Parts: sequence; structure tokens; C-alpha cells
Amino acid sequence: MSHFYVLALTSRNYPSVIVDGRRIEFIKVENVFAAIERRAAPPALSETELRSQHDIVNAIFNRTDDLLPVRFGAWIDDHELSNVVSRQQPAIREALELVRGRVQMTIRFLAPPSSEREDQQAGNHPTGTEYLQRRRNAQHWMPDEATSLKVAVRDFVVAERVSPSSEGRAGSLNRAGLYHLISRDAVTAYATATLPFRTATLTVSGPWPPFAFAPDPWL
Amino acid sequence: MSRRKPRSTVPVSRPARQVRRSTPLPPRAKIPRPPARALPPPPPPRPEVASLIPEKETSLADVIDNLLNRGVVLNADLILALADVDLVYVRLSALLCAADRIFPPRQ
Repeated sequence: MSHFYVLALTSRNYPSVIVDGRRIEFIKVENVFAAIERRAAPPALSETELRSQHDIVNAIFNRTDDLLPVRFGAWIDDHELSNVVSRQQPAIREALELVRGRVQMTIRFLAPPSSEREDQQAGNHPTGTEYLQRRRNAQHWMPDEATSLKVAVRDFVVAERVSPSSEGRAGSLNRAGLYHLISRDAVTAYATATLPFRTATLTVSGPWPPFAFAPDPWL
Repeated sequence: MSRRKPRSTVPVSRPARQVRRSTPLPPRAKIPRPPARALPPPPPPRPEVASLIPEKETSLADVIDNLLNRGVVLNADLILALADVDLVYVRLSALLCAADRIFPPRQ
């Protein structure tokens, strides 16, 4: 039994590459291919390791046509890898079809803290229903600019994922994310279309490998 | 009904248009064409997509969000069963994700 550190899944076989001093191989797993690194232990959770993996996934992404990045920490044996891929195979194949020839663009929104925290600070106590309603509103919060921005880029967007809004620690801002899957050829046009909307509280970044378009393991 | 006399807009005093007479050009000498040359092969397609954010500016927020909150999860098992059999098995030992996915926001 051998252990692999799995970085991504793709539909085709590619020659091995060395990125950042690490040798990345492609091995067949069921009917997809996994970009793996042979190593004796998983990487430690540190900023250096995270950035290194991010760079590697980006480098592989630029060499492949369809790539599904794997979440950090996937150090598993060959048997388990086969099992997991086999179990999620339809979803993986479908996701690979979706992301082929496409990239992810990420939009982040920041906003002042919700009124809930302000209430607490002011000593107000909302009812349970009010509390739950506010929580729900906060989760689905999107700034007004999001609607205009979506209209501006709708011609480029093939698929969209929304990250529920989350509140940071006290004193920090709410944040929400919008992920767009667009054609690789449309990056410049997309970037130009988003220019008028970019502010200190609305950032656009990319192109990224389609991290947000991987199949959801909980479905 | 009287017919109008056609009028010209050209003044009477305007001099007659002179026709330029050019001297005929000598027959063109045939310029020998360079031999047909094969076009250089087109450059290989650049696999890299246009970059909006330079690599060095990749923020830690993007790295964390991409690698800890997104992507295919390979090492988390979740087995739920019903029908009088209590089978709830969640193995998350190797599953990492950003803290705000697990813990409620601190008050």
C-alpha cells in the first residue's frame, strides 16, 4: 500500500512535471487521472505549505484543459483514493465536463457588521424570530453592487457559485463571495467589465483553477 | 403655364476646365518575385490564461479560501443509515477547512 498526496483530478493523462522542486505525477484512478506527489507524510498546515500547494495547482492548471483541485491535506493510500473517486465518480465526471477550458473568477464583498451585533452592543434583545430572520438575511446578504455587476458580466458567465456571507470576529467586516466560471478566452473582457465596480470593499481576482466548482462531498 | 428656363449654377465667366495630359509612362519592368517561402510555424498556443492578479499578489485570503474551503474532498467519510440501524459515521480527522466553517462567530 502506498500513500499519495493528491493535488487535483483531471480527465487526461499528462507527463510528470516538477514544480517548486516537487515532482507531480499523473496516475489513473478509475476513469480519471489524479495529480499526485509521493511523500511519506502530509504537509503541515502552514502558510508556506498552503502557498506552495496553491502555486503547484496553478502550474498544473496551466498545463491541463480540465482540472478539479483537491482540498488541502488529501494524503491517502491508493485503495482509499480508488474508493473515494469511485463513489463520487458521476459528480467528478460532470464537474470535469463543466470546467473544461474554463477558469474561475472570484468576487469578494465586504460590509460593515450586521445590525445584530450593533443590537448586542447597544443592549437590545431581539426576539428569537427576529434573531433567526436576521441570521438568515445575513447569510443571503449580497450588496446592491452585486446585481449590477452580475448584469455586466452575464455574457461571460457559464456557471456561478455563491458563498454564504459570514461574519468575522468582532470589529471585522462581513464578507461574501461570488465565483464565476468563464471561458479562458474571456478573462480580459471579464476583467474590463468589472473595472467600474471594483472598490475597497469589492475585489475581483483570478483567473484561478475552478476551486469552487468541485463537487460537493455532502450531497 | 410658362416653362422655366433651365439655369446653370456655373458662372459664365468661369474658365473652361483644363484637361491634364500626362506623358505615358514607360512599360514597367518586371520585378522578380522572391521564391515562395514557407511561413514560419505559428507559435505554440500559450496555455497560460491572461492574468488579472499577478502571482505575487495572491492574497492569503484567496489561498485559504481556495485550498481549505473549496476543492474536491477526498478524505472525509460520511455514512448515514436509517431503518432502525444507528449508523452515523463521520470521519473528519484529515479534513481541514477554515475555522469559520466549523465554529460559530465569536461574540
